[in-house]
Amino acid sequence: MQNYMKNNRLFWEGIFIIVIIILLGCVNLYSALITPYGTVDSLFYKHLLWLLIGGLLAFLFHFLKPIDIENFSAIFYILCCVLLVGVLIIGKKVNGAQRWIGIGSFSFQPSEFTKLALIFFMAKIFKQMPVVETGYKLNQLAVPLTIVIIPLLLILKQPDLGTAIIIFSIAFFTILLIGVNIKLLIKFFVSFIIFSPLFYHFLKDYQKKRFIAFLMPEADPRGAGYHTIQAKIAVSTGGMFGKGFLKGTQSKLGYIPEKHTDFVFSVYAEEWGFFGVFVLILLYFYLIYWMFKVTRNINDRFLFLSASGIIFLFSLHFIINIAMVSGLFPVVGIPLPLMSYGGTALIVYLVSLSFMLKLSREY
Amino acid sequence: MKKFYVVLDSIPQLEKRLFLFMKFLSIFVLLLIGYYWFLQILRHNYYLELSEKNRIRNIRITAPRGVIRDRYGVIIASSAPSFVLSIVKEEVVNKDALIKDLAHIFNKNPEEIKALYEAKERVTPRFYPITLYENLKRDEVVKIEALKWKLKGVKIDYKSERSYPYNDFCSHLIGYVSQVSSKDIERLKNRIFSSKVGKAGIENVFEDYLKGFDGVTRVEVDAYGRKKKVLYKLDPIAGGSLKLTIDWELQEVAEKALGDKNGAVVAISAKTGEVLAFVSHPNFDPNLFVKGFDREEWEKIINNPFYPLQNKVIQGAYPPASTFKLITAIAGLEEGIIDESTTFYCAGKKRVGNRDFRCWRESGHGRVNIHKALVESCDVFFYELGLKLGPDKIAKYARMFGLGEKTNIGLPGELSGNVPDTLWKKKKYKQSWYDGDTLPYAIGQGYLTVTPLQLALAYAAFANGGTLLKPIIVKEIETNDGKIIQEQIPTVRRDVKISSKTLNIIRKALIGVVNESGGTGYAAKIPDILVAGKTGTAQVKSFKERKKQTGFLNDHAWFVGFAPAYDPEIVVCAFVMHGGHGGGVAAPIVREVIDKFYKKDRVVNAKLHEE
Repeated sequence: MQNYMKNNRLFWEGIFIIVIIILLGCVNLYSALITPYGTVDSLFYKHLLWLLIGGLLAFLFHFLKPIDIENFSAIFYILCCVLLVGVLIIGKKVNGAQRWIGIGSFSFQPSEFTKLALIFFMAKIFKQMPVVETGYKLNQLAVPLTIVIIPLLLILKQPDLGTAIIIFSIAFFTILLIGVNIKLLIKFFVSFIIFSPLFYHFLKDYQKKRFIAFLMPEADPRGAGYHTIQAKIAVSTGGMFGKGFLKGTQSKLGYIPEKHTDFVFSVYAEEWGFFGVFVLILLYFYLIYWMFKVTRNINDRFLFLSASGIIFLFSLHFIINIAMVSGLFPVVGIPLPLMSYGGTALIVYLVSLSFMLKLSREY
Repeated sequence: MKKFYVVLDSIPQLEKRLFLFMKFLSIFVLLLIGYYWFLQILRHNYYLELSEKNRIRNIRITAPRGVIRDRYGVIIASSAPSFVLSIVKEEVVNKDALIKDLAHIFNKNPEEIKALYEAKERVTPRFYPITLYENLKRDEVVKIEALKWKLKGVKIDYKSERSYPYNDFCSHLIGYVSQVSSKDIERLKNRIFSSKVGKAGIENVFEDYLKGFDGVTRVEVDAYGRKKKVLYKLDPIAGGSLKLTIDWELQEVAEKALGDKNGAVVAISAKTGEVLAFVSHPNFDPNLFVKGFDREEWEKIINNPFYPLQNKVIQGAYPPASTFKLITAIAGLEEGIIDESTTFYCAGKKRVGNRDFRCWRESGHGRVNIHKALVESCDVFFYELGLKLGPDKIAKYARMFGLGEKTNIGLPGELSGNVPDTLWKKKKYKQSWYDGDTLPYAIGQGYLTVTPLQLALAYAAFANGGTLLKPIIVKEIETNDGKIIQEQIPTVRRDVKISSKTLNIIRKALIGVVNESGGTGYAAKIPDILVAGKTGTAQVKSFKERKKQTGFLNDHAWFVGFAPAYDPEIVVCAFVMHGGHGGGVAAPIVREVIDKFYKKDRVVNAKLHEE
């Protein structure tokens, strides 16, 4: 009972920090979605609706037994792959990329679900694999690599470089976590360096432009470098304490593209300044640290690996997005968890957090 | 009971690795915080500036340039509204269709418009409207207004633009305005640039008065270039206006009299030094500088062998020929070398050393005194006189009359001409002065050069009894609401001391030039007005060379006249390049100008013209 109480504290700690970030996200999204006429864009209410749906799903998810998750992970994974194929066939095309499946007025992104499905499925696969003292070799990794590569290719085809980078990185860190043969790791890095020009060759033109713009944003300030420069201006003019809520000029005058999705953090940084940025980064770090605290108590390999995958998911999104907004990372479509608008992603984050909350009580 | 969770040994190892990940994450978090500190605190001011550039547009309102009027108020340079066609890129629906429509309106090739559009687009900052055409014609404006529903994104604005209603009228004096160059930007600090500045003539010299102060509207714009709100507005202040000493009608007559001939005509008020007419030909249309030249027009100007952009009144120095005899005669009389009865014999030529110096009349003038020598412009008389005077005495009198020095009319590029003497020759050619140099000098040729304005002023100094005046071109400078802030009053440069006896002798001779039979300036005679003057026919130097290069064989023709002879009010100097004889070519020009000066309805006409 005493033990239960202790873990209950960890649970409420998690709830507390998650709620704070969600509230901050809502406040900031309100500002990002304010129209020139002083009203707020309907997307804000949609965000609230998504929060409700996501919260409900997260609540329901809480009642799933961990073993059910493990058992369902394969089906979940296959379902996601089918949906990814479906996207390529019947998906909605927005801005040249085919990423969404529409249901009525709502649309969702199967690639977001795929992140979670892959985390669970990889955890299941690795749980079943025997532990190798010297780390896994390539032939032993054939199955897990295959299950990563299939959705990865499907997502690259959409194309959605951001999600592909996230999935690849989650898989990469998971494999590092379970232990990989050091020689294989070296081989991987060497071939990565050798083949990266080839990889660059396969990028779409707009992706190449963004990459060049990342290296030299000032080279084409009106074109590819525009996102980065305008976001940097927004962030920088925030100064120490920011311009104040609803007072950001860069976002209000429309200089920031994607200000409610991938670049929502620049709106925040402009209005709340370095002070706000510092607080939010610490909050995120605290959230991840909380997840780590939860994870290290777990003594089940599947659950441990799943929880780690979710840590990677959040960490990568958080670090890459904040780096991207300030021009430290090329512009790729990677949203900021709980802050950016995006229904499917929000559901995935809430469900993941629900999973972590569940584990915080169980262990 | 089934065991749910299999505990594996590897968990602690996983935990260790996950902890390592957390360490890495912490480092990244610290780096990010550090970078945001850099960006938001250290680079704050830099980006703040970029942000202002983004958000705030300063839209210039060009101040109307001050008007330039003649002495009676006729507007010579005005500020007229000019229509500007610009395109707001963000509002264009179909660019190709728009270009096609514009091509139709302007009667041009769509490719041409497209090329222009793209060229202008490149130089236009993001979200600024692209200025496609300036100075639209009225019918073009009407057409565009009529098709406005179709031409999405096309905007017609108007701005104040310099306009010269009489085109090439008085162009060398007025000068012109045109687009600022990088050189001007250095010169004119603290100005908002993009507009036009005075580049030559009055426009250049009085830039600061004429320019006024541009206004500005500071607006906040959104990312699509749409104005959100006006932050601040500063109305432009119109430039001050100038009243010139130029007499519009006299100027017109002088220009007409010179016609297509190349050269200069300058008329000045004999007692005040006010410039009444200021003509240099070939001239140019300053409006072309305002709107910008096309290639053909520009080539026409720069390929003209007579340099249309050269202001021949002050920027050209030429041998004054026999008009200079005035100076030699005064020198002779004042120095006591001759008197009215001294005579020399002219046999048509004078031999000095082994060279014959000809008189223009080959048969000779016989025995001549000073009067006859001036009236008939006998060269031999002045050869003899010159030899007696020597070059330094001639130079002394020439300088007294302001030759060889700038008149300080206040226009850029004025030449001082050349008054040679022995010292000058030693310096310049490292040779001593020969008698062979003195002979042409005495009749205004050789090394001697003067500008038409200098010559006119020298004659004015003689005509008014010895007052060398500073030429005045601007009578009044007014503020934009008509207050006179500066008035030019006659300025005496120097008093030339000439005895009344000398004045009398020469005045009579100059009257004789125009009025006596046998006088070389007979063509300047006007029935009711007593005109005095002197002709000049300058042999073009290095005759053979000229012939080879350009084929200009003719002599330069001069005539300087003043009237009325005994109480002169006006002095007119006409110079015709390669015109032929002064008496035949230049004297009639002077006559017409003086004639017009005394037409009674002159002022009334000018006033009417203004209406």
